[in-house]
Amino acid sequence: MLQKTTKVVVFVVLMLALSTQAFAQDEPTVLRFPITSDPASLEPGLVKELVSGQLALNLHAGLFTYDIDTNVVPYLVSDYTVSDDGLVYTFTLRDDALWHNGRPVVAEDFKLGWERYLDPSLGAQTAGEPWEVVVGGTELFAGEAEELTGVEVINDQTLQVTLTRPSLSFLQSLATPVTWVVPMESVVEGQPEWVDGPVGAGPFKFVEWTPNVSIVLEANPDFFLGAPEVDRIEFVVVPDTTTALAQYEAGELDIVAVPPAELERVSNDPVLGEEIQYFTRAQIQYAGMNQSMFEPFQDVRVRQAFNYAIDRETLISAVLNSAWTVATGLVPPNIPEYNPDLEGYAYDPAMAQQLLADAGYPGGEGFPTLELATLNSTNAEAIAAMLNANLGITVEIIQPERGDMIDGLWSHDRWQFFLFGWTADSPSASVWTYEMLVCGLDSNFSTYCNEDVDALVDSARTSTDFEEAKADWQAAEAIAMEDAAMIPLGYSRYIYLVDPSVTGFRANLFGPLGFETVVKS
Amino acid sequence: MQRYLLQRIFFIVFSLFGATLLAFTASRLAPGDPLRLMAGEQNLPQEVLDEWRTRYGLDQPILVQYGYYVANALQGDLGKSYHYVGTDVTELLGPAIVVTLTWESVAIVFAIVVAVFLGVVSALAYNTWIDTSAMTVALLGISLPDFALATFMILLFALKLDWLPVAGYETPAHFVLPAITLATRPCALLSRLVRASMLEVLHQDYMTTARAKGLSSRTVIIRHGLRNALFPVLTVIGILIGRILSGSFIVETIFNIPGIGRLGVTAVLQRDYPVILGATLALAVAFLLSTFVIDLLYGVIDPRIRTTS
Repeated sequence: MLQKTTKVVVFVVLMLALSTQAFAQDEPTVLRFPITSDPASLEPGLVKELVSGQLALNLHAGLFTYDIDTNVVPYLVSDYTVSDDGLVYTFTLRDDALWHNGRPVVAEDFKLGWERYLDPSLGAQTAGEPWEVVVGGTELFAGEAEELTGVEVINDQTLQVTLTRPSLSFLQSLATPVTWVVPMESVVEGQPEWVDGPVGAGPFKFVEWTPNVSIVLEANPDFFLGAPEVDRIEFVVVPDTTTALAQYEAGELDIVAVPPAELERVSNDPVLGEEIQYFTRAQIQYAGMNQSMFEPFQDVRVRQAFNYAIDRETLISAVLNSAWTVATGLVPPNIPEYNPDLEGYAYDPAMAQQLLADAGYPGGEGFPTLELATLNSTNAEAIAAMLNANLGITVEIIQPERGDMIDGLWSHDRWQFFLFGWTADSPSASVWTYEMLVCGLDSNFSTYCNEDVDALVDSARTSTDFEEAKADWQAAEAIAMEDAAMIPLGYSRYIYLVDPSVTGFRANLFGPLGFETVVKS
Repeated sequence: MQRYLLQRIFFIVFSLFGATLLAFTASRLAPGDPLRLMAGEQNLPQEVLDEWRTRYGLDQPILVQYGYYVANALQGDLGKSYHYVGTDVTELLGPAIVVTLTWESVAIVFAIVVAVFLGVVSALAYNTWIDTSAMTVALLGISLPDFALATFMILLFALKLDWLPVAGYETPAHFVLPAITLATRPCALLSRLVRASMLEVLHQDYMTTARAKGLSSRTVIIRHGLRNALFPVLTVIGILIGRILSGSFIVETIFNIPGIGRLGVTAVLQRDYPVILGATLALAVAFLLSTFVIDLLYGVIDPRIRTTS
């Protein structure tokens, strides 16, 4: 009797052990990745900020996408042709792509999806680019038409788009999530944030969104490029970047962006230092000299003197722990119009003093006290000290709150001198050389103005030949550098800590790519 | 009693109006454009900005906006978040309130129980080493700011010793560090107050009478001593609950707890006006209700108040 009981017990224990073993093997791999806030929307056409963009890359797919080198590559498109005049694009769609609801992706989805985005009441940010170059786009957005006439569905697999003029950036637009669409049957009117679950065609499917806590996605086994390796991704909402770092160190997160203030400790840490990964970013960090707010900045010699007086190498290596690379121009590397021949301003205190003296302020005498507005006082302290030591001028640092800072930049009437960054939403020189330099633009925070630059930028923007446009962009940038329109300091980088168990994490100029290539062991 | 209740309810409603009006004007007058903040460092076409401003009524004068807000709020509609496009503020507030109430009531109960215990023990052991060390610890607790204590505890208990998780809100273990952080200061303050109050009561004539009646010393201390000593302490507890509620802003951000405090901080940084107001309203209601309950409790503790009112 006793023996029998023992046998039963042994059997049960064995079965239990086996079953837990089986469970252990089945345990899904979960990648935990922090996001600073909930996404504003899970609809790709409504992407306005980084978090929404990041989610879109995992949930959705479009005709094209950017690869790791920020090249435009076909995604849902298997083949395409462009007419000789550059006006008609014919796209052949893949025949193996399915929406998450199981229905095949067809050409009509794009026509209907785009027409929806052009309804002004939806508030899609893309009203304007790229639709202004698509025939009928402007009319539809203005409510003067019912249909996007320039987009024609030839058959389920073929889509034809006619442009009003040739555009060098049209395919780039198709590679950004704002032009990616969702199947119309999944759209819930009046609820673009889609808490109930969005439908896409991307590598991961929606599982659950707990606002303020996390968003969970799972691998899409039917993804047209093959099922992702990771079974689940948990995007955990962690607004405080220092908290996120501590969670990473305790093993609660797999990947984390390193906050600038922690970079020194992290890079000197024997363990963490080995887990850092750097990725080039399309962002310039600069000091802006607001000419309308501070009269001395209207003198080009003063602006050049400031440029010569700042030791960028020391600033970046000693103060910023190499979070940036030294900027020699306005357009960052990896952007097609980047000019590797620009040398930028060397550190030359003697030259700086000479120029300032020529401008009427020998040894900084008579130079009014200057206010430097910044969100990061460490950089500002270093810059103020360099200007004081080399030019003898007094710089007072003010540190407004972020919302206040941005307001003042756009209104041009608050900050005389400021530290800020300017980030690309497309890999084009236009982001910097047009938006930051052209006379009268709101985004020209320095209120710099030069007719020659404007003429070159205008020619570049309307050009249909890439090489010609590139030459114009580079010429405009060179003039602005000669003019010392601003003080380019550095090109920033994405700096992530990646757990050793995770491989295949990628980022391009715009940030982390979709996680379909990530493997967690 | 009825009249008193009516007065109090009127006062609560009046305070809520005051709090929302203040938060409403302050958030809108503060520099920082919610739409620009959403766009970050990227360029947003002017026509899109204008269209959004009109849609959210931001082109109206502030008092008109406030009028609409109150009218809608009275019907239970607190508006829609700017950041979480299309989401009702009430939908965001609901879960956040539950989270905050859950973990903060743990902190409040913890603070009160420990404080009363420490205070009574110190008073009874007046001027001994027990008293001195308890009060030194309390002084330390009062002087330590929340953020310093939080960082220190994360370093020690989560990163070095690996006993508790760093941050998040998943298991009861996640409550421990934030609850201790939030409870420490009120607990330290309160324990000193309980001690002082208890010392005073211990020398009252009725205590001598109670002892002379032959009651056990436990009964004397708890029924006659503590009950009278807690009376002044109760008022302070009401104020401390307010402090604890507002302390949630820092502590929830550091420990990444998805409560009303963290929601409020994120909303302020994004200038998400409707959410800022919703969070203010929720905290104001919680504070006013807790002081109201405390006032009612006076009657329970002190029968004289019951009879006179």
